[in-house]
Amino acid sequence: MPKSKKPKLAVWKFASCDGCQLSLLDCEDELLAMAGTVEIAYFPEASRAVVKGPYDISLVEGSITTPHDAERIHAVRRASKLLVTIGACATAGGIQALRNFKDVKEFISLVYATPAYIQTLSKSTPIADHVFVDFELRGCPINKVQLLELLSALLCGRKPNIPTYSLCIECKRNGIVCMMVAKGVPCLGPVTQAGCGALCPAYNRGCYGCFGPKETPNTASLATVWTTLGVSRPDLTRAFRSFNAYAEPFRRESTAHEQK
Amino acid sequence: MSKSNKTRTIKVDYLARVEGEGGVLVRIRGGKLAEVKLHIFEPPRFFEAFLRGRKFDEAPDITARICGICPIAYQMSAAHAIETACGVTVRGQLRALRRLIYCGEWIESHALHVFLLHAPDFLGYEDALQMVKRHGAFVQHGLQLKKLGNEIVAMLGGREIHPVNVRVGGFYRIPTKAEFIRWLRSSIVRVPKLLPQHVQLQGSSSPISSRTMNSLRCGTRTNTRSTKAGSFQTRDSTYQSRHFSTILARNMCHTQPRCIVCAKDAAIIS
Repeated sequence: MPKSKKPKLAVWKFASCDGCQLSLLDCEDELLAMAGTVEIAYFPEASRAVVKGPYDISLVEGSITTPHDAERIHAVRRASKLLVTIGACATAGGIQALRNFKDVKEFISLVYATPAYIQTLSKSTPIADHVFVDFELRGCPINKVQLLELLSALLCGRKPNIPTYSLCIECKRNGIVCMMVAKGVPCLGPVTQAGCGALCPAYNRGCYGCFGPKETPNTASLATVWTTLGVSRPDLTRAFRSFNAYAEPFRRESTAHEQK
Repeated sequence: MSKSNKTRTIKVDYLARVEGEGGVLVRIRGGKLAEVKLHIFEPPRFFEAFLRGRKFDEAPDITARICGICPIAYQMSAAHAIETACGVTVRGQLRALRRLIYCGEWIESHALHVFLLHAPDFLGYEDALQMVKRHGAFVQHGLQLKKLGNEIVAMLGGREIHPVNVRVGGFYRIPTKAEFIRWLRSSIVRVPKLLPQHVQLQGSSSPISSRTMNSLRCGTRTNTRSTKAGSFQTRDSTYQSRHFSTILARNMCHTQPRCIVCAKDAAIIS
């Protein structure tokens, strides 16, 4: 068979829920066209075929939580020309980074009957803490339209058009009445990066920050507004401690309201 | 047959086309199964531990992240657990809508597994994409069926993976009648094209009548019957469900021979 000239795509999984890589398979209308454009060289969730590296584009899902994974990510980096992290786990440590604020040994004994079998690190860390990352795609889960934009951009050699502004812009653009101003519902929208299409406000609830902090977020100011809405300090800590808890601005703000 | 003491070992370091990470080792000695070892190296994430101290209404969104392929299962389990603890039962149309979103996930997840994850093994391919050359229509149908399930989840939940609308006590917002009808017209009308190919509804050779599909396309009324709007009270608010067809949801999930949209007692446009 002639050697494929198509760019090679690899999809890697670390500690995660598989949702972000499923977004690729959820592109039902575009999947076959995508497979015609790139060679899916390594994607265990979809194929048992393994094409040797180096890979032109590596999509990395999940956070680093085991000693084995901390080594494996370096091998992935070495085999990849472009390494892109997809989702909150890979870009911020994910929901499993809640262990970072507690004692992981206590966590192990709470959950597993035989803790001796469990190998885990005390912290769940994003990929960028370990290797150089070329681009980070946010979201828990990522938006599949953004994923397609990212892949097309990388294949054309241009910068992906992924905005870093806040969710508020999407909310206004969609004509959604402000949850916080009009209804007094606490919303993380002003400090959260756009990308989901302002889903939560469209469904009559405040944003819970699954796309992580926007560029230069003023979390302290938002916390003050939340306080005037009657949100207590423990509630503030928990609000910033969810799927992007270990992203620096959210981590700082949640710790500021933590009561010892 | 000659007796052989030969040992055969099957070792898969990384199981492909499954959710999660694991490997398997099988040893067969003298034609008999001697050893099976399943090695799960999916990293632990400790949901049970970090859920402690969280507010009750956060549980459905957090537990959803256990699995991106079946988030509704976790959202529903968390919501039901808390409702049970509070002595609350979600009934009527809210319950039916919950079932509908769950059905959406089943359709999506099953189509994914049958067409994209398992079929390649039965047909001798490495993945579904390689099947396209010889079984293009089959793969396309699988993808379209999967899309149909995803559309149900997205219509009710906002997005396919980790939907945002499920909450303890019901939903944050019930879709409007217009949204619901728009979904029916764009989505469900494709069902007859998809189903007969690979799925035979029990006791019916033609699962959906053309009369119904036409009436749905034209927006004319089929048989209507008003259903009482269900309501559910939580501590802070009351969620009033609109007139949606409980029967629609029932037909979506039970193997009734009746058609999905035209069933005589179904009230879609009420």
